Amino acid sequence: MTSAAGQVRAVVRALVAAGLNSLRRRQGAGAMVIFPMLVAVLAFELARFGGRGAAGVRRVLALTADRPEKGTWWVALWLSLLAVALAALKLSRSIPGRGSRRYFDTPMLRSLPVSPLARAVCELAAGHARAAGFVLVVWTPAVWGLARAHHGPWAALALTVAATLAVNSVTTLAAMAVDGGLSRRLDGRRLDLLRVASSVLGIGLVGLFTAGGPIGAGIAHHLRLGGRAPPSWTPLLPLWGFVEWTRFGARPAVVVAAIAPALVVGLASAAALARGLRRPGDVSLDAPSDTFGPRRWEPELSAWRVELRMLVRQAPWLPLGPLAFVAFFFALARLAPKATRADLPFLWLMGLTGWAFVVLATALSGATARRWRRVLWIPAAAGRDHRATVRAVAVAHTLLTAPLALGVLATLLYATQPGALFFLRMVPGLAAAIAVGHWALAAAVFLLIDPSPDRLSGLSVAAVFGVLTTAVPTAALLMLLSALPLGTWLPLLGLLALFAWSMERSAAERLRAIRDPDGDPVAPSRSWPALRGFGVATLAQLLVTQLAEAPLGLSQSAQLGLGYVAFAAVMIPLGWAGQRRHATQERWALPRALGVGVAAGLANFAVAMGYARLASRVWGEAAGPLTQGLAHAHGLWRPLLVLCAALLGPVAEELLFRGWLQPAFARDLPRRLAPFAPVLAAAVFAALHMSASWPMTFASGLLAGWLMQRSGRVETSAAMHVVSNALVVASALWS
Amino acid sequence: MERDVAVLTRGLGRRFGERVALRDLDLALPPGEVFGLLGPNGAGKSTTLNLLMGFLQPTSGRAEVLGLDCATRSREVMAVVGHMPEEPALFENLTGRETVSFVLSMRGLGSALDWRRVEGHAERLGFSRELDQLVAGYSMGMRKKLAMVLALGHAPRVLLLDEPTNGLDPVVAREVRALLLEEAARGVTVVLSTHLLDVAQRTCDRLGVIVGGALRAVGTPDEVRAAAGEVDSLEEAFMTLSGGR
Repeated sequence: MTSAAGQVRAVVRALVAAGLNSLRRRQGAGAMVIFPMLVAVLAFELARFGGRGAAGVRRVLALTADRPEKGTWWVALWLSLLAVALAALKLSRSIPGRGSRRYFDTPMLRSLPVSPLARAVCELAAGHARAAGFVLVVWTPAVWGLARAHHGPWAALALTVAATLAVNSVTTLAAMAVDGGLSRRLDGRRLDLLRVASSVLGIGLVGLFTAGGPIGAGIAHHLRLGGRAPPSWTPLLPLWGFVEWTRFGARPAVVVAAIAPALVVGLASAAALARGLRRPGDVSLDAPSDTFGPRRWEPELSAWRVELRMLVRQAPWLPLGPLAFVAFFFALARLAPKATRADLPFLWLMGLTGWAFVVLATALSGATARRWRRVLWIPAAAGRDHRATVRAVAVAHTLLTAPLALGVLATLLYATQPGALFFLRMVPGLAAAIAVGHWALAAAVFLLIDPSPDRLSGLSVAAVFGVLTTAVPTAALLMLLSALPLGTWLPLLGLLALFAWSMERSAAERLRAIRDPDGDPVAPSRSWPALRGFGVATLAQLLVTQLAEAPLGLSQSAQLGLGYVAFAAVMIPLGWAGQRRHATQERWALPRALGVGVAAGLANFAVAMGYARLASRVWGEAAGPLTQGLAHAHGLWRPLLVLCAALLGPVAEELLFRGWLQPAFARDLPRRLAPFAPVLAAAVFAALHMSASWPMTFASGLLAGWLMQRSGRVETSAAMHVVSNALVVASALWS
Repeated sequence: MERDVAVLTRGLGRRFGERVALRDLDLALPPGEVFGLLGPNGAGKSTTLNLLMGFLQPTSGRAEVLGLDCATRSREVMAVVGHMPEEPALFENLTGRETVSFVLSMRGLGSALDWRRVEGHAERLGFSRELDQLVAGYSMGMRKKLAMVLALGHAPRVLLLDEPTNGLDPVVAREVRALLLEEAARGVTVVLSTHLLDVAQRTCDRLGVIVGGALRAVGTPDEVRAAAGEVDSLEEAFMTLSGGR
């Protein structure tokens, strides 16, 4: 029998060989991304915390000059949080299903005559090998900085090595103890849920690490603008230096330069992925064979590596990502007045590491989402459709990537709008937007790729979400939300949710058709084309507002008038065509419909006036662009604007919303929800207006929808809308 | 220790809560014997092997391998036993050769590793070419073959094999049987669990039929047939003893 030392040596050799094999043979693509990233981030973080005589941490400590120990405590707090994340990640990886399995304790190895000491050391060595990357990047630099602030380089090195080994060991032991204890008490399903929960906790904390710097920087800047000192802990936040470097003047070109390549990469990746995976003949509705049975769970580590490898394979445009990010920082450096040539290498490095962070986090969350899917696939397989799965995936991804996306958004906002006092107000709204966005994307992924759940691997989630949730929403939300008043957010989010719901429904229909090809054919959704029409209408509406403000050299009223003409030219044919497809049963005669519509229009006008007065008094809401434009219109533009605002606009909107969208919703919704079709149509109607007075618009839309439903004629609501708008126009002209 | 007994159990039993997995097992296997544990699924075959390896502690009785108590001296037992679990779990990122090197180094044979012997076994099992490939790419059958090579690698005096021929094609299964008989001829005691009657009949010197955790019959295949009454085949004997299952 061999000695414990010999056995430890054998394990270390095997771990090294396994690591090299995974690099050389199996996971080359993933390793190519991960390892340069680890090295780059480690170098950056070491320099930040401990470089040049620990200047980094000294700077931190100097901020709390009156109580230097406070700075140390902040570092310690941060390190403790990261240790919790480490333990949670290890726990999530150490539960392979029912029953406990440690890193080292496989049935084959259990049959070897290993001494207890060697077994414990081997467990720790295996645990260390698995967590080395995370510990090195996230934990070690801060320890190094802390040690360097108080000690010479050699003592600091020794302390850092000892502390790193200690935290890695303690977290491994803690995870093993919790794992062992719980696996005796919990059944397999609860154990799986626990693993998912601990994975979410761990990755969430890592997400905090990534996003903490930008968010903290935003808060600090907000305080500075208010004449208050930023809190002493802000420089401790990760990637703080990155934010400091990007604190430049407001240059829209910077944002455009930053976003355009990322957008291109995102869309190209999604397209490549959809092309590669869309094989209708290869659909299997059987649950994946490895779903059931506790022993078949893949080990977590290989799962996310495989995810990453497949991500690179399936999305061949992905390698362009680093280029996009480099372009981003290059653009920042070129355009930003404060950056110098000497900053360029730093910016390039940050660009690459930033992208790598995104890829890694996405691959991790992709692996996690796959487990969510599997946990939830069991009830989904027994049930009717996979909507629960869509939502579960969306929830998982929101939890995992929201901090990251928030961080990126906040950084860009901060870099481009240093005076943005609404920063703090935006954060909750952004979080909500990201959550709903994930839902919409989850539904889109299901629909795009394949509605059979076993085809929705973590890969597809990782690829599409990874690129889309970081590049596209960053761009779209930043552009859209920063340009819009706060009041328009809620209807916009509602819209996004509607979109998701519609996608979900279409995916469910496809699934049903595949599952039961001989069953009754399910008619395709009508809400989906209606919503597409709505998308066109939204663009038309944006055109109106943009034309009114574009530097064309015309008067404001002329531009507004042109905008309205363009709007009507798009909307009326579109609404007319849509409305004709949804012939409803006419319940009222035309005179009655028109009479009731006029009366309702008068009532709606009275309420709208009251609301406008209240809004201007309570929260100082200014009049809308139409009212302002009418007040300043001269010559021929005035009758044109009156015509558009009082007649063409309302008629077009009623054709679209009451004539087309509302019946489409009524048909597509489940039977008990069908009566709420007017509410949904009114929500879309309110969102389209993108006005701060959306509650009033929504109420008017509800009234119009109710009239439409009662009368079965779009003329009723059109009469109401025309009368109401005409009176608003008249009052604007009068004043 | 009784003379010339390699594997010995006396009143061996194991309960899992209320469920009795094994009760009062009395066996005495001499060196060089191939003994088959036969029984339907869940009869207690794997439990018996796990008790012999020391993975499980008995709730009654005792087990010995070469005079070593399996419950208290399991490390020493493991050193002289070659074990093949039913579902071999291997390190995915090692090649077959690296796995052999690792396992035998853990057994203290690092420098004294006889590669010719290992390669000979691999050759006979028909997977010498795959020895240098990653385990991750192995099929179930190849994993079984590697597990067999690992079990034989340190020239053990006792072999405990859980369903050794499951998942193997007939040619390799025959080679495995031949290998086991050669080992037995060298004095190695082989205990194998199986639910395949054909394997049991053609390989084993003696059989023990376990049903519901209890040993129903023990002896040569002919003796087992006799114990079941006047039946023509082992299959009929098995059906009779296991209550028609």
